Parts: sequence; structure tokens; C-alpha cells
Amino acid sequence: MVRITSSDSQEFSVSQDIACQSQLIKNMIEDVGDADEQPIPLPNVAGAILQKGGSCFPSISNAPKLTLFAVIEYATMHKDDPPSAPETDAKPSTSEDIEDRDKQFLNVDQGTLFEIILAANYLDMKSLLDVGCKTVANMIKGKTVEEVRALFNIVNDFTPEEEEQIRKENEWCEDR
Amino acid sequence: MRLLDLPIEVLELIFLQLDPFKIAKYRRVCRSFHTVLTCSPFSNLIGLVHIGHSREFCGDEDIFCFVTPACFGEDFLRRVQTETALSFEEFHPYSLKTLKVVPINPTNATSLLDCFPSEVDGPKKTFHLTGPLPSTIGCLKQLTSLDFGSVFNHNVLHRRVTQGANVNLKGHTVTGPIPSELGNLVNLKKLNLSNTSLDSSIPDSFGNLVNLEVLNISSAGLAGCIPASFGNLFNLVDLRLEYNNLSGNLPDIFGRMTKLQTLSLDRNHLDGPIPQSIGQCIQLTALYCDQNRFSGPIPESIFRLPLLQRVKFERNSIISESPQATPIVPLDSECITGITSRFPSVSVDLQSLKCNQLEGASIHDEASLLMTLDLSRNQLSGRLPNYVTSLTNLEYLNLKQNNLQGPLPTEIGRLSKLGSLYLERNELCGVIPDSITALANLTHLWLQNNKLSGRMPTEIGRLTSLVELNLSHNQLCGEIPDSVRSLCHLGGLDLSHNQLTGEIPPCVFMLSRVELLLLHNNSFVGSLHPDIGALTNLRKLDLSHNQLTGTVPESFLPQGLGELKLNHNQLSGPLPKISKWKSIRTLHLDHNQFSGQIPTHTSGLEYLQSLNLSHNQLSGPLPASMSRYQSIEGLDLSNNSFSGTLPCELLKNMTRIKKLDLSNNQFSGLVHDMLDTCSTLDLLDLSGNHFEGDLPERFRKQSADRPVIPFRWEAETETQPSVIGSEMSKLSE
Repeated sequence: MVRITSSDSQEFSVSQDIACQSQLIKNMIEDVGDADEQPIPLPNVAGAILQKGGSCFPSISNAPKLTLFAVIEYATMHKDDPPSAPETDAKPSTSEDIEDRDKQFLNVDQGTLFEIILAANYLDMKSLLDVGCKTVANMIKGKTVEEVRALFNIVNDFTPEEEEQIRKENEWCEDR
Repeated sequence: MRLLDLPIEVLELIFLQLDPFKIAKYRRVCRSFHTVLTCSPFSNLIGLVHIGHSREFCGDEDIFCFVTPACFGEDFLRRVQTETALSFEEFHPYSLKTLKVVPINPTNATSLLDCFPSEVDGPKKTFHLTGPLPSTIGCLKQLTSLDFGSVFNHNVLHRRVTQGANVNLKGHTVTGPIPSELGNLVNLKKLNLSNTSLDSSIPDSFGNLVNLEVLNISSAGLAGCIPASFGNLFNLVDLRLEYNNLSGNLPDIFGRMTKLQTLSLDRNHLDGPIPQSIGQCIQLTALYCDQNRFSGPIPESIFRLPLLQRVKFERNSIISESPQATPIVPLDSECITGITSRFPSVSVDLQSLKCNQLEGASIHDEASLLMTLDLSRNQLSGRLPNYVTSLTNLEYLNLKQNNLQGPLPTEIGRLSKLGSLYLERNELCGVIPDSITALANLTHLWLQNNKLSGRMPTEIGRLTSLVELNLSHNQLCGEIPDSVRSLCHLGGLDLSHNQLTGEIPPCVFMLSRVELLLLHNNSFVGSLHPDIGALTNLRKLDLSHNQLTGTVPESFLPQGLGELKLNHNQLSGPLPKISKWKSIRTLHLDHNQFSGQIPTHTSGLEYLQSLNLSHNQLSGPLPASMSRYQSIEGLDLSNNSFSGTLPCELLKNMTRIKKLDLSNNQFSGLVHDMLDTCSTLDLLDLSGNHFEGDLPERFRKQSADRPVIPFRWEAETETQPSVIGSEMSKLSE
């Protein structure tokens, strides 16, 4: 087992094969040697408070999701996956191929989704990061600029002139 | 937490999941997006694809452009290569690594290839961007080179230009209008839009392309003016706008173009004066302005450009006289002939150069590198400029079809590198200076259609490199010098329309390479030289309109001869054995004193187009073998003493005959039958014979203003000269 602590000092014990889905933790264990002695601190991953009465696999859709927990949950879910094939650059990944269980898993509010992506990025969990980015990409896909702004609550910080200039430059890509 | 709180590298990962051709629009969502989407890898949306070499246009590359994220590039290229099955040979020189990808106006990745239909022509399948240039090209700001030049071979182009019509090349090439956004590509160093169908004007915004070194928009259907903003393009090395419809004045834009080496403006409709500022392009080596409407003098400063090698102003309205130039005091004594040199003020400088030389400076240090000077078909007047003889590196000098007057300067002999000298169709007078024989490299000497007088230079044989010598249509007199025998490379000799006298020296008939020998319209006497049969290359021989006497020698004619004109001499005796000359097309022996019959020949002269035996003393019936002249268009046997009936099949095979003149002979018999088949005739004259019957119905109508002569008929459309007449005029050209 590997002990890890979140930024708010919550401690988790997870089996090594689950923990090592994070390239970051894997590297740390390899560096430190025996994993049992000290908990591994993850100061950049916030909030590891278990949901009250939550099970190991809580119904995630409605509850505020806590990042590290969620990440562990994802890792547990995928612990039996075959090791990912060596990178195949020639085949560009598309945002289409998301497994149903991952879709289900990431069916959360935007804030949680971004926290998970951030954590996956920090923990260097390629598959989770990948699926997270795909989920966001799917949200963007097909939307107009204005729709994207509304969806993510983004404030247009260009002046009208600047925006017009950029619009002109990229006209070839605008929807017609 | 919000999307924008994610680190940039994560945002980047998100966008990489999206269709690479659709993300650029999100640059305007907000500044953070803009930052992400203009950084790597999305900044690498720009590059060039080189796809194969064109063999027709050596040196030019066939380049196709795409924009795409770098991550997409290699795979995309592989698809381009496999899906389009371009021959590997074409691709071979380019490794994938050297190829970059730049889609310009894609709708989506998979249909990208459909956006740019490739031109399929067999194994040499090549890519062309077709259709209008997308204005969005203007966003590819990092482009340094843009090449849309198509690789149509010259024939297609030439046809397009000469017809001047709308040969529809759309679907084969880039079309216009040129988006003014092209002017945004400020990093461009090379822009090639040649051989396209832009059919538009050059946008002013091109003046923004300050880094341009090569700008080639030749043969692109450009119209309108050259924008004055071009004056900003001071990095230009190569500016080519030839073969377009550009019009208006050439703006004074060259003042800062000190790097310019080649300026091609030929074949447009540019008018007005030639800007002075061209003289500041100190690296200029080639200046092509031919076939425009430029007027006024050529600025003197141009001739001072130290590296200039080629100057072409053919077919403009260039004049000699610079309005502000003061008349030049000729330096050389022989110039003081009363005619003041009125060539441009450039002479002033060259004169002063000479003065410098007197003061010790070597003229060779200052000698112009000019090798080619073409001012033909302009309105130069006055004397042949003295300064020309200072251009000692000249290899090609063409001043034909101007109004140059006065004699050829003696110093012409200093142009020792001269290979071609074209001064025809001017008003040059005086004697051909002996010094011209010093031009040992001269291959082409054309002085025809001037007013040159006196004798041919005795030592003309020193011009041993001569291939073509044309002194026709002058007032030369005396005999042909014997030294002509040394011109062993001579292929064409035209001395026609002069006042040359004496016998044609036998050595003329020993110029074994001669193909054209035109000595007509002179006053040569004597008889035909029997050796002429040895000139195996001879194609055309014209000795007409002289005073030659005697008979035609048995061995007279070389086998390959296509055209022989001995008309208007005083030759006598029987006709030569026509049948030996199998390839002859034109045979004019009229206006001589030939007698006897037309010899019967068994083999037909199937290429003979024009036969004129009129105004001789020929007699007897026509041989039946004449009916084999199946190519004949003009047959004139008038004013002889031919008799008997015409061979019944005479006209049967003459399917192209336009003119048939048998007038003023002793022919007899019925005419009606044989004429029935002749629908091609324009002129039929059987008058002055003893024919019976009537001309067929269609030959009886006669236009009202022509007197009715029995047995004579002329088509009403007969406004152009007859075939024989046009042959004559062709020759005198």
C-alpha cells in the first residue's frame, strides 16, 4: 500500500498498482524506495474530504466531488486496464472515443471537472488527463465563439477593434 | 474553478483534441485563448509544401500550400502522397521532413484534398491550387515564401497571349482577384503568382511587403496600374510583371530599390516616360521594357548603371531627343557632317567620359558591361548614337525600325564582341564603313531597308563568322567583292533591291552552306553559273529582275531547291528539265526568251504550287503530264505561242488551283467540259486564243465595273493580289 496526503492533510492508503497510475507517484516511489515508511505529500491536490456516508464508489453525479478521492476512484476503476500501448503518434486521437464509464465518471460540474483535469495533469496521469481534455473538447466542439464564452462563463476581454481584427485574421475558420 | 484557471499546457491539450482546422476561430474568445492558440503548436500553422519539380519549367518548383497544426503535418503529408498517388519520382527529392503543411481555406480535414482539385495529367500528375485565392491567406503572417506559380508550358501561355482572348484556364490555376490581405504577409521574401488567371489589379497593400526579394506576377492577367506603394519594396532583387495588361504610367518607384537586379515589365500597356529613378538601381543587370507604350527618351542614368547587361525597349515609342538636353557638340571629326547628334543626353556623359580618358582615366575601367541593347521599333531619330560604339561589351545590338539617319559611324568596328547587329528599316545613309569588317564575331548583319550607298566593303570576307548577311533594299552599287568566298558559314545572303552590277562572282556559288541566295532586282549581267548545282543546301534562289543572259545549264539546279525565280532576265534556249526538281514549289521563269516546248515528264511535280512561264517564246501543245500538278495554285502560261487543244484531264487533279492564265496563245478547241470541276478558281483567263464554245455558267457573271473580255473571268472577291503576286511580295519582305 502507498500512503498519500492531500494539500489539506487528508491521508489515503491505496494499493501500489493504483497509485502508480500516476507517473508522478510512480517516480517518487522509485526515488524514495520503500513506499510504506512515509506518506507521499501531494500539496497541489486539494480537498480530500470524504463525502459523508460515501461509499468507496459513491454516486458521483450529484455530490460535490473531491478531487483526490475522485482521482483515486478513477485509478481504481482502471487498475485492470492493459498498460497503454506505446504512443502511436501517427494516429491522431479524436475526442469521440471516450468509454461510457469514463463519461459517467466525468459527468460532473465544470469546477470539479477542471479540478480533476488539473490533478491529472499534476499527477501525470495520462489517460485521465486525456479523457478529461476530451470531455472539455466535446463541450467546445461545434460551438460558436459566443456559445463558448457563455458555456464557460468567459468574459470577452478584447476591445471591439481587437476582436474584429482577430476575427478578420481567422475568417477562414469562422462558421459560414 | 474555471476553465481559464487551467494551466496553458492543459488548455493546449484540450484544443489539440479538436479539429485542427476549426480552432483558429476561438482565438477571439478571450485573450487567454488567443495566447494559447497563437503559441506553439498552433503557431506552426504555417509552412510550405513543395510537391515535386516541374520539368517543363526548369528551375521552377511546383509548390502547394497548406496550413495545419504541426501535429497534423506528417500524417497529412503521407496522405497527400498516398491518396493522390503522385509518382514517387516527383516526390523523390523531398524528404517528409522538408515538407510542411499549410491548408489555406479548408472546410474540414477529410475533404481537404477535395478543396484543392489536383490537375491530373497522366504519370506527371502535379498539384495546383485552383480557384480564387482565399483572402484568409492574409493571416499566414509568418510565411516567408508563397509560390502559386503554375507550370503551364510556354505553348499554352503563348497561345493565351497571342490570342488575347479568354482561353478559359479556370479550374487549372489560381484565379483572382488578388486579396488585398496578401499585403499582410509582411515576412514574405518570395511571392510567385506567375502563370495564373488573377485578372485583377495589384492591391496597394503590396507596398507593405517590405521584405520581398522576389516578386513574380508575370502572365497573370494583371490589369490596372502598378501601385506607387511599390516604392517601399526596397529589398526587391527580382521584379517580374511581364506578359500582363498593366497600363498607365510607370510610377517613379525605383529610388530605393538599390538591390534590384532584374526588372521585367515587357509585354504590357505601360505608357508615359521611363522613370529617372531606374537609374538608381545600381545593381540592375537586366531591364526588359519591350512591347509597351513607353515614350520619351531613355534616362541617361540608365546607361551609367555599372552592372547593366541587357536592355530591351523593343516596340515602344522611345525617342532620341531628351527635351532638356542641349545639342551635343560631336567630338569626333567625322561626325561634323552637318547633322547634329540628337541622341539622348546620355551622349553627353559618354562624351565627357571620353574627355576623362583624355585626362588619363582609362575608358576600360568605365566601360559598360552592357551586352544586349534592344531599342528596335521605337521612334529614335537623328544619327546612330556615337555612344553606342563605346559599349564595347555589346554582343547584341538591335536598333531596327527606327528613324535613324546619317552614316554608320566608323567606330562600329570597336564593338569587337558584337555577334548580332540589326539596323534594318532605318534611314541610314552613306557608305558601309570598312571598319565593320573588324567585327570578327559577327554572325548576323542586317542593314536592309536603309539608304546605304557606295560599294560593299571589299574585305567583307573578313567577317568569317557571318551566318546571315542582309543588305537588301539599299542603294549599293558596284560588284560583289571576291572576298565573299571566305564567308564559309553563310546560310543566308540577301543583296536584293540594290544597284549591284557586274557578273555574279563564281565564289558566291561555292558558299556550300547557303540556303537562301537572293540577288534579285539588281543589274547583274552574264550567264548562269553551272556550279550552282553543288549548293546542296540551297532552298531558295532568286535571280529575277537582272540582266542575265544565256541558257540554263544542264546541271543548274540542286535537287532540294524549293523556290527558283529567274524571271525578268534575258535567258534563252530551251526550258530546263523541270522534272528533275522534285521538291520545287515555286518556279518563275517568266519574262525571258525561253523557247521550245514544255518537256514531257513522267514523274509529277506534286509539290509545285506556282508555275509562271508567261512572256516567253514557248510553243507546242501542253504535255498531258501537266495534269499531275496536284498542288498547283497558280498557273500562268500567258503570252507564249502554245497551241493545240488542252489535255482533257488538265484540271482534273488541280484541286487547289486559284489562278489559271492561258491568255494570248494559240490554243483551240472546246473549253466547257474541263472547267466544270474547277470550283476553286479566282481568276480564269483564256482570252486571246482560238477557243470555241462558252465559259460555263458560273464564269459568266462579271462584276459591273470590270470590262467584259471574252473568255476572261475574275472572282468578285478578287481584292487581294493573285497567288503569284503575293509570292512576289512575300519574297521582297
